Amino acid sequence: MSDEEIMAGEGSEQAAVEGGALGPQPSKRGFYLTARQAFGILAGALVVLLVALIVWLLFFMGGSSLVTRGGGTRAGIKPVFTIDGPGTGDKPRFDRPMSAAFGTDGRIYVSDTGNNRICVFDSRGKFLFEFGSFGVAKPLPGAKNTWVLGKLNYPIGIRVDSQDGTVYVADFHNDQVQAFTSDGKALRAFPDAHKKVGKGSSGADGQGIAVTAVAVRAGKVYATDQYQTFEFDTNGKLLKQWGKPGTAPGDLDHPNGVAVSDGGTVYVSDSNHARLIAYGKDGKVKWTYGTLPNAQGSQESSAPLQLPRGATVTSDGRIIVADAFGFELVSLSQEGKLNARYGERGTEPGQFNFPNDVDASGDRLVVADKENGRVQVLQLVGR
Amino acid sequence: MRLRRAIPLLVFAVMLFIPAFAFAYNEGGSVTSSLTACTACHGVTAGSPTTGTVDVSRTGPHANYTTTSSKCGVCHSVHQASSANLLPAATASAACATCHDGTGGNGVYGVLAARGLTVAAAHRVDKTNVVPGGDAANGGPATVSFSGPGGTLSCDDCHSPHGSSVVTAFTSDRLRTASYETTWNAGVRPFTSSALLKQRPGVYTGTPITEYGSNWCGACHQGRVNHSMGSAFNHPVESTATAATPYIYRNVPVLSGSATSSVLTLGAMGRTNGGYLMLQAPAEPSSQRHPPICQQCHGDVRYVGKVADDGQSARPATFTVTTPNGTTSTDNPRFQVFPHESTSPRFKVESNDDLCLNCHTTMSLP
Repeated sequence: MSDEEIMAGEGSEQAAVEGGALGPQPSKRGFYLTARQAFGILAGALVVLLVALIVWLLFFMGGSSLVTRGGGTRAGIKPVFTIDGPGTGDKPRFDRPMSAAFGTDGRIYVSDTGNNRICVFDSRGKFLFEFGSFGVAKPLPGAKNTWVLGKLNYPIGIRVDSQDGTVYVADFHNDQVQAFTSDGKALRAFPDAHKKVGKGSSGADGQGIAVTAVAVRAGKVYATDQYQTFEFDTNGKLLKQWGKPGTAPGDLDHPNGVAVSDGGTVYVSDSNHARLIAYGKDGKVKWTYGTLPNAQGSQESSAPLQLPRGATVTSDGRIIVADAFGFELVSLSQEGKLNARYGERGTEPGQFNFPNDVDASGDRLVVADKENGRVQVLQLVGR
Repeated sequence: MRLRRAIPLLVFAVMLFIPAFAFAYNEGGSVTSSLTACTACHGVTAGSPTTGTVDVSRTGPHANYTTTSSKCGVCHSVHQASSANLLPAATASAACATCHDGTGGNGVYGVLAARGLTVAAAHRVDKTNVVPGGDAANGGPATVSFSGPGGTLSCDDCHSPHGSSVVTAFTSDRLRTASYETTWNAGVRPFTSSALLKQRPGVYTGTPITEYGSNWCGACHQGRVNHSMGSAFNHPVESTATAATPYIYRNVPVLSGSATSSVLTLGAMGRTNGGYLMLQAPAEPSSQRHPPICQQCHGDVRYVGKVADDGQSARPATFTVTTPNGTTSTDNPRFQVFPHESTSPRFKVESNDDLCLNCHTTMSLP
């Protein structure tokens, strides 16, 4: 700053003092706005606010009005958001969503079982699109075959191939698995719903498999039916099957969950036997977690697992099981030891009402909260 | 102030934008069960879990509550439940489907639609409060108040989920019954179940009905059990109104085997088609001729066999149940979901005159 500038400044201060000495004078300084100018400015501000609101609605609320964000952390569950349905169309809400999975790009695929469709959301819960409709692949005499590739009949389990994004769906009443592209284009169905699968299968007339859950890892697709686990390649060629009725280690009774570790260990939720079974690549039992229901009809509150359903393996190797009758997520180590339990029964965000499935992506889980008619994206904390 | 004059314009501008905000926001197998699979939950009354006798009185979370059991919390939530009766779903029937949807065992409702068949008759839970033949005075329909939403029929109108005050256990047609007896327990003990049927179903408040038979159906369908109601008549039906000790589902005249026979023995209707054929007297093992019970005409669809034209002998069709819910087309009977759903109107076991000819043979007609 030059000396002249400093002097000018001092002169200004002096003038101000002098002016004060003269007493109050009407100020001739300040802004004057015409009505037109004021309207223009405020209208502009409103336009900016409107645009901001639209952006917020689109990117934060998503296209669905059935998204609830946040919620308090409870019982080790930190809810991120919940989705009650796409919020549009003639079926804006889910009807008993029994499975949910993360896609490769963070999308969330929901098996909306009661509505015979798959609903797809972005990573923030914005509804993107849906695919699938009701179709009967195995009509009984007197009924029509209404199935074409892509139609579903009580879809349950759903998982996405992390390598290519292919979506695999357990098409329960059609006795098959169906594969779709990440954008919902039907690719193929397997096994043949009208043929016996390997040494035996559970579909109508003993053909096909009444598949409840699926998993995909390293080029192989795994599926469970009433008493067995099947291993296919991604084209549907049967590679292996194991499991049988009974209560011996490895026997199964209505399994409703399957997950596979990077090492190839297959974890099966032996639902009606209230246990999780870890099978090695050879199909032999490595360990089991849980105890068989007792003769009082199970449901002992102290049981390690009460009704294990869907399961997943996290990136750090933990096995997370959705316990439908325990109303919680159970975390196990790869050695079958209990890490922690998360969640509690209820209808608030972060609580469960017969959780039927869980899938993991990074530090997030997505849970098919069946009887609350929603899926929840959440994080596990503090345990 | 010019600014003051601008206020109405600003208000007008804001009002123009308000609807935009509102409209931008959308408000809108071949593998079958084993005995151990049964005994794992139900336990045994005798023998080992692999060869013993299943304790059928133990029915999962539905009965046998003790100080050491922990079953209530499976279905009921004390706080923040989804329904007034503290169940997990909005209605009792929806709560039942939480487990009974086919993924944990055999399904009940939806079995027919899943295979593309049209449901021609159903006890439509959560949908109807009209009872066909519910008017005892004239046999017409009656509107009643069941326990479902809006007074509609609910699963718990017929079933007690707690196993409380249920009918005497009986042999049914279902696969698990057939498999158990034919595979693991032949001749040891009939597999029976009450199906948790209430002794006072629906809105019935009379004397408890302890046996599954015509009286049980008539608790709701009151206008169907009397032969005459003055100006209207029904086909005669066996009940306590017609006999001191009426035939019931677990005790009717049955033709055994699948060969032509004239020998009837008293026994259960379940697991045989021989109870659907009625010979002319004197073949009936009772000195008094009885009319049929409801279930001898209404049941799962089946081919029951043929009565000889003279009505003195009959050839029952082979009873074949090989898959859950009768999805195998050669099974006889089919579906095993009576009285929930049927492909046959009014749950008739056979269609057309085929049904009538099971009793009214051509030579017996006047």
